[in-house]
Amino acid sequence: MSGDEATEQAPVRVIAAGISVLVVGAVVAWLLGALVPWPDPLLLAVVIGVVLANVVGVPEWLEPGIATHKVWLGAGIVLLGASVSVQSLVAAGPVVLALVVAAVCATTLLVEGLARNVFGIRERLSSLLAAGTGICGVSAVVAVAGSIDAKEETIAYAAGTILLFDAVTLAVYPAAGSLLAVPDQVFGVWAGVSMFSTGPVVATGFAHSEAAGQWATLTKLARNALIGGVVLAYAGYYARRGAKTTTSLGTVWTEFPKFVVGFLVLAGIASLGVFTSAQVTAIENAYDWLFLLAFVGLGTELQGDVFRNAGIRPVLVVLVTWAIVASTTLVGLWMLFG
Amino acid sequence: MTGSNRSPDTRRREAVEQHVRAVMSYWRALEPDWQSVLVAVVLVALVVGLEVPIPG
Repeated sequence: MSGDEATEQAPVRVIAAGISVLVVGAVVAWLLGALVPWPDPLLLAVVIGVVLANVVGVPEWLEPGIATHKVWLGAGIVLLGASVSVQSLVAAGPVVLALVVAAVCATTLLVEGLARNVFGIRERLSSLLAAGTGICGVSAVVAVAGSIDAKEETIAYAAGTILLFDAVTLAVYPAAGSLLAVPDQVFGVWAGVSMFSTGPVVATGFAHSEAAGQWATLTKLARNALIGGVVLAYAGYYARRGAKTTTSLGTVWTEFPKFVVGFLVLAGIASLGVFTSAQVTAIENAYDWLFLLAFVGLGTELQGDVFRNAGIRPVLVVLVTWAIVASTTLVGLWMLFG
Repeated sequence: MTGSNRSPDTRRREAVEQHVRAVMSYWRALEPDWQSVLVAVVLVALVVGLEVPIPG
């Protein structure tokens, strides 16, 4: 049973117990963050989650509550809408959107090309790796898997590879950002176009700076919004090859991350000057706490046995693609915004 | 046990449990993305409507 299914069926008190674990982890990360200058509390929250899952061990009955971390991440992203600068969003929006579309197309095609032609990986696994690397990590793997009738084993293989890179990028990007003194906007957009799942992108962005976090989240949301189109494209491709697919035009909306709607609505309301500065501060504090909760849960997903699903060839494909995309986008973004 | 044998405390608890179950059934009927939006709406309402201070 998946985390979401378990959450749907679990009694309230069981879910509350799992959420309590996230709250305790978040408070510990916040307290530790006040004591040590580095790393940022958001990254400490991820580390606490990793330690909980891999050292302490999370009992199965707590999993439904811990699986709610995706809801807290989405809610935090919606609230982020209250503090983004709509002016800078409008000013840089078209350039960032063009970059996102270019990066998604290049990454997806690069993974497909390398996986099938150089590393001899099966086509469905290649497609899942391409979706996970190009769009939004494990969510994209699952969404595309549903539309191309991929086997459970193939999904686990692709998801394990993407989760491995989520862990690697969570360590590499903050270090690279500090060492190279990457400007906030460059760092945020770079993380948004070249990292994998949404949680690590948001954590890494905000660990660099508030402005970088906002740019990282905005860029990643634009990337996530393309998921419906990519699912549809893959379903069409496999249907033409005679595969059983279950996708229609409605998929574009079904797969669309709805919290983006909430984010845009709140950004629009905030731009009208409806909120006082004290209210904006309280909303910013609220999303900081929601992100802490979400990242403790995210850390619990980074388990050793999941990584064992990642085979050496899929890892090499994603590694080569990531190295090319991350280096070229960093240089390009520095020239554009640096 | 029949309704008339239950103490007022038990009846109150049962009523609360019934409300919680009703709320949870609405909650579970929502997609996780919409659950996120709902959490955010509630938090904004608390901050703006009730001036609840959220410490950072």
